Amino acid sequence: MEIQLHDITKRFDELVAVNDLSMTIRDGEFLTLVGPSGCGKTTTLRMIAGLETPTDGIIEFGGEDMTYASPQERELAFVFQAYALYPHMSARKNMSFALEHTDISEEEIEQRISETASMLGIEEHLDKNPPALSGGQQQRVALGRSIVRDPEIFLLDEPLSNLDAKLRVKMRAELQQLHREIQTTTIYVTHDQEEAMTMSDRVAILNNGDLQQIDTPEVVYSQPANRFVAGFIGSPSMNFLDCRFEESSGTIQTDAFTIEAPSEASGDITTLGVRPEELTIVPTRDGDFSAEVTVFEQIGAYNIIHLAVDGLDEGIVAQVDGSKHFDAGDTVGVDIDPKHVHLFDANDEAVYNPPLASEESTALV
Amino acid sequence: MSVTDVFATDQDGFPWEQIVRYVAVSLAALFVLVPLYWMVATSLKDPSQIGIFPPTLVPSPATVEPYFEAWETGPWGQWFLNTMLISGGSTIVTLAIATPAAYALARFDFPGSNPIYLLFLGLLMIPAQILLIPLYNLLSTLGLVDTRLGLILVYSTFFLAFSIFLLHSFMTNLPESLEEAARIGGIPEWKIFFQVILPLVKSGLTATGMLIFVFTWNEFLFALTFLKSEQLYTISVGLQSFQGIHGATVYNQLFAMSTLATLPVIILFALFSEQFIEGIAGLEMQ
Repeated sequence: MEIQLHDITKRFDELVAVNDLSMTIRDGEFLTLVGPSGCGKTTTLRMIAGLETPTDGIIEFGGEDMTYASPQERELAFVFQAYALYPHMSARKNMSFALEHTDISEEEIEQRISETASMLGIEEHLDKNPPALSGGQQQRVALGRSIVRDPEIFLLDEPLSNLDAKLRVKMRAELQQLHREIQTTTIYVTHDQEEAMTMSDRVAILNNGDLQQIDTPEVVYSQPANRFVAGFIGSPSMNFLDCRFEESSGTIQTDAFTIEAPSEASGDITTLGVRPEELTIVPTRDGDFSAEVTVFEQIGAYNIIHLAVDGLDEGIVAQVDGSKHFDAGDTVGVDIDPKHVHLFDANDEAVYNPPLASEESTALV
Repeated sequence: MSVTDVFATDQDGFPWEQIVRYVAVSLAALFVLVPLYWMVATSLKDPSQIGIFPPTLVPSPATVEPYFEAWETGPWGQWFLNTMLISGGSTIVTLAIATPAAYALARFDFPGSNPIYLLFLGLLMIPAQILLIPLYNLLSTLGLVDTRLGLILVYSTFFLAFSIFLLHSFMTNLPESLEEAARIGGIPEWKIFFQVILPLVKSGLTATGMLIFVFTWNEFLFALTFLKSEQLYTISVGLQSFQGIHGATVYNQLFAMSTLATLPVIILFALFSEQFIEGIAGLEMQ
């Protein structure tokens, strides 16, 4: 089922939670709404579910206007952050409750529950009440309650945020697999950019009620539309340095160093953005500039170093191979590949982004 | 310096705090239990042990004779039945009206919902005695004075605001996402109310219901005012007959019937104590 939002605005008294939002979620797509808390992502999801009514705008499901339809009429499924399982009913009853009200036969309900339960691995827990289940099991029952209804639209509101880190990664993979199996239009809300990047067909980034960018994970990562998206997507975050663009010499100048500008660069450029993984640590004499290591973070697969650069007020962060080790106080050289920088104008809009990795590799072939 | 500092365990490890707590609780228990003991003890005394000084603390000899004598003084069986019907009826009628009202006020944002709730709260402040004469007028117009139904309606009116107030607190405490989940599941509102909300406020309903039942069971002023015929009396009205009919008060018989009148309430509490305490604790947590 395709979902279309046309100029949706939601105000709570003075507060504008969602501002003139328009987007189309394609049939069968897995779309993630991501942004910091208070960005309007949950409000958007709740408007799609019918739990909130937009102040302005139109919501359409498959071309049909559903703006003022009740949640009951929308026939979609919603997984809540705190699961919202009925505590006085067994897991089985939680799953069957909504079906009992339809004309689906009892045998069919039984069959759907046992199929879903085995898919989610909760067969042994069907007769327990939610308070007797662990967080992960409750999560699965909440998913199961939605799946058995075989909905056309699946809405998930931060469903993994109450789980511990290990279980979160596991459930992330399970949800992706689940989506592949049931192929239902899915809208997933999270504040965790990593979840957004790993699970989605497309990611919509919101801030202060405004849509910043909507595109595939690869594009929002490599070609962020503006400085907010650039800083929000990716961990550790992109480094931002004040800079000037010298058109005559074709260079980008910061207070500490000058690099060659990408040939496509033009106009009023005020900020240089470089992802920590795009910085190369080299011997001091080879780099574009030298820096002192202030903090070394051993992660394992990769390591993170925090650097202080003479002439720069803010430190910069670089990501290095897991085999490389540095100590605080070491002096290193830093090399920047001019092709892999991001340039922003005074309004924080991107004026240059590097080409996508997928396009680069095709070019190489 | 706070009280707990003064009584906190001193250097020798003497448990002052514990002792103070036990003494305080024991005093409170004594305060409640002494009159109760006196009632039961007196109901087991023969007339020779009553009204003497110093009073006998333990009835000797103890006799159940006053119970049989008291039972013969009036249609007590009928009066117990009346009280049961009136208290039970008032509890059911009040909860039946207050529960949906509290739910509507707690959950639905309709025009005037807030003023209406404040109006109910305001009604709590009006002393019952002030309503006595207007209610009497109203009921006599309706021809309901001296009927059980009339008294049930009076009690329900009186308890409605209080019950809405209590149940409103229980319902606002429930996470709204439960109803939202049910709505999204396509479940109609009436079914959400009966199958999701009601089971979850069970302890609140029990606590509210018990408060209504116990209060109406013991109520005297309204019962005396609205019930004229002897066969419609409640126990509390019946008990005053020990004063009137025999001139001087027959204490052992009065206390024997009082003891019997207390029993159903104690049994009720024993049956529902867990839910009652859970309900009250649920309120305190807010």
